[in-house]
Amino acid sequence: MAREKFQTLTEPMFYILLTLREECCGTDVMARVSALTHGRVDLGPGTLYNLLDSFQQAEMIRETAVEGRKRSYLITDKGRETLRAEYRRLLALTEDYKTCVGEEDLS
Amino acid sequence: MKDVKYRWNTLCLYDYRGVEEHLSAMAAQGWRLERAGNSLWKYRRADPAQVRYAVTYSAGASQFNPAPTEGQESLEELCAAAGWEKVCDWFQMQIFSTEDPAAVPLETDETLRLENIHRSMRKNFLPANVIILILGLFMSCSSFGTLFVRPLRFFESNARPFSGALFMLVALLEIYTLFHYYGWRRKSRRAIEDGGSCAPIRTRAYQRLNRTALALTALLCALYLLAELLGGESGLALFYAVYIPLFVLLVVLVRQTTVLMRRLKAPKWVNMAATLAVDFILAFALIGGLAFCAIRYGWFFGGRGAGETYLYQNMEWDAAPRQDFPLTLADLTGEEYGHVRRWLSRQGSFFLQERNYNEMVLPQDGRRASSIQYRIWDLRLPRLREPLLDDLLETQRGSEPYSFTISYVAEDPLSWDVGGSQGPEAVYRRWNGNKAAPIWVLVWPDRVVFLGLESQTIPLGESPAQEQINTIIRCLRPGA
Repeated sequence: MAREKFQTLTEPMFYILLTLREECCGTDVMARVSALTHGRVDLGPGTLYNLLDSFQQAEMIRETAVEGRKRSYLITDKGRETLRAEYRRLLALTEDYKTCVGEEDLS
Repeated sequence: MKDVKYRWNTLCLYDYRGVEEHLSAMAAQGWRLERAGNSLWKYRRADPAQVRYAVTYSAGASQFNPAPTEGQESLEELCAAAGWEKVCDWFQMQIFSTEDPAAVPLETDETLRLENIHRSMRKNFLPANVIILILGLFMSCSSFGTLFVRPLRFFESNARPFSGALFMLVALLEIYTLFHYYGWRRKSRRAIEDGGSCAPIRTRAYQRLNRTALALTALLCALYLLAELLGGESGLALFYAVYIPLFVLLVVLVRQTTVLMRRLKAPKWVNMAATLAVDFILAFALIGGLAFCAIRYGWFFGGRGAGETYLYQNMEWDAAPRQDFPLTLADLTGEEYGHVRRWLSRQGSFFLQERNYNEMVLPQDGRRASSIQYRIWDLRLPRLREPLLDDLLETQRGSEPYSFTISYVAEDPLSWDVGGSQGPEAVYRRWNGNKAAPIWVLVWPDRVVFLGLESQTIPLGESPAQEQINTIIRCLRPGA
C-alpha cells in the first residue's frame, strides 16, 4: 500500500525542512544540507526542486522572496509540526534500539 | 565538413537513462545536442569530450510556452548552482549537461523521480497515446468489422484493407507503448521499494521496434500504391503519392508555426490558437486543393474523362466518344446515334475490380433519349462471388410511392448460351412486382455482370433477341 505523503519523512525531506527553519533560497538549502551532514546526504537539484514544490503545495513551507530566478522559502507551523513529529518518531526508534540492544553496541 | 547533424530520434520519453547515455556517447564522438525537436534532434560539432548528461522532468513545461515557466527557471537556477547547464527541453524532459565528474546527480531520490516522471507523462504522453489508440482501434475495427458483416464492401477498394492494416498497426503499437510504460512503472516501484532505482529500459530494443513500425508503415503505403497501380488506378496512386508528402509537409509546417510563435514570444493560448488555425487552414488548402485537382482532372475512378463537349437540348454531349465501352447501345440496336454521352466509374481492389458503365444516346433527330447501364465485377478471389450475389440479388421491399417488391428470378442459362462455353453459368432477371424488367445479372465463375437496359431497347416482359444475346455475351463475357 502506498505510504501517505509526508507521514514519515525521507532524509532529504527531513533536512530540507530542518534547514528552512531559517529563511533561505534553494541553492543555500543544497549547501547547508551538505555542510550539516558532512556530505553524507547529497541533494540533487531536480529532487530539491520537486520537494520544494511539494512542500509548498502541502503548505509546509512558504515562499518569502523572489529575486530574479532566486526564490527564498521559510518553514510554516504545519512544516514545524511535521518536523517535530518526525523527530519524535526517530527518538522512539532510538529508544527502542537502546531497550533491545543497549548503549554498548554502537561500535 | 558539416558542423550540424540531424538525427531521427526514436528514444522513449521516460527512458531518462537511454537519453543520458545516448547524449554522452554523441558528445564523446564530437556531437553536442543543440535542439530536440519532436522527432528530429539537432547536434553541433564540438571537440570530443567526456560530458555527463542528466535529465529531469517539469510537468508544467509546454512547447507552446513563450519562455520557460517560473518553475523551469527555478529548476535551472538550482541546477546551475550544482554545476549543471541547461541544454534544451524535449516535451516535459529537461536536459542538462556538465563536464564536472563530481557534480551531484540531478535526481537523488528515486521515489520522487518516478512520481515526477508519471506526473509529466500524464500531461502529454499518456493522453496522446490513449487518443491515438482509440482512433486506431475504432478505424481498424470499423474496417475489419466490414469484412465479417459485408465482405464485399471490404474488398471493393484497396483503401479499406490497407487502411485497416495501417490502423491495426497503429493500435498495436499504442497498446505496446502503454503496456510498456505501465509495466516499467510497476517494475520501477517494486525496485524502489526494495531500495533500488527505476527499472532499466532496453533502449535499443525499443528503438528497433519504433524503426520497424515506421518501416512497416512505409511498406504498407508502398504496397497500397503498388496495388492501385497494378489495378490500373494510376490516378488514385498519384493522389496518394502526392497526399503522403503533403501530409508530412503539413505536420512540419504546423510544428514550425509553434516554433515561430514561441520565438515571437506569443502567449501560450495565442500560440495554441495560431497552431490550430494554421493546421485547419493548411489541411484545407493542401489536402482540399489536392482533392480538388484530383476531381477536376479526373484522377479518381475514370469519371467523364477529358474531351470536348457540346450542348444540345440542354444536355452536355461528347464531341467524340471518350472511353471505349465494351458494349454500347449502338452494338445492341444497330442504330447510329447522333448524340452520345458516356461516363465510367471504377473501383476495386487487388481482389475485386468493379467498373460501372453508363451511356446515354439521342438519335440525330432528337427523338427520345435512351440509355444503358452495366456493371462488371471481375473476381480474383472466387469466394467473393457468393457475397456479391447475395448483395445484388437481395429482395427489396418497396416503399411508397414505389410499392412493388424488387426480386430476382433465376432463368435458364441455356437461353443465353452462344456456344463454345462462353455463356454464363447462371442468369437472374429482375422483377418489379409482377413485371419482368429489362435488367439481368449474368454470372460466370470469375465475373458477374449487372446489365440494365430500358424498355425501348428490350420491351417489358420480353427477352433480348438471339442476336442481341450474342452481342451481349460476346462483349461482356470474361476475357472479352
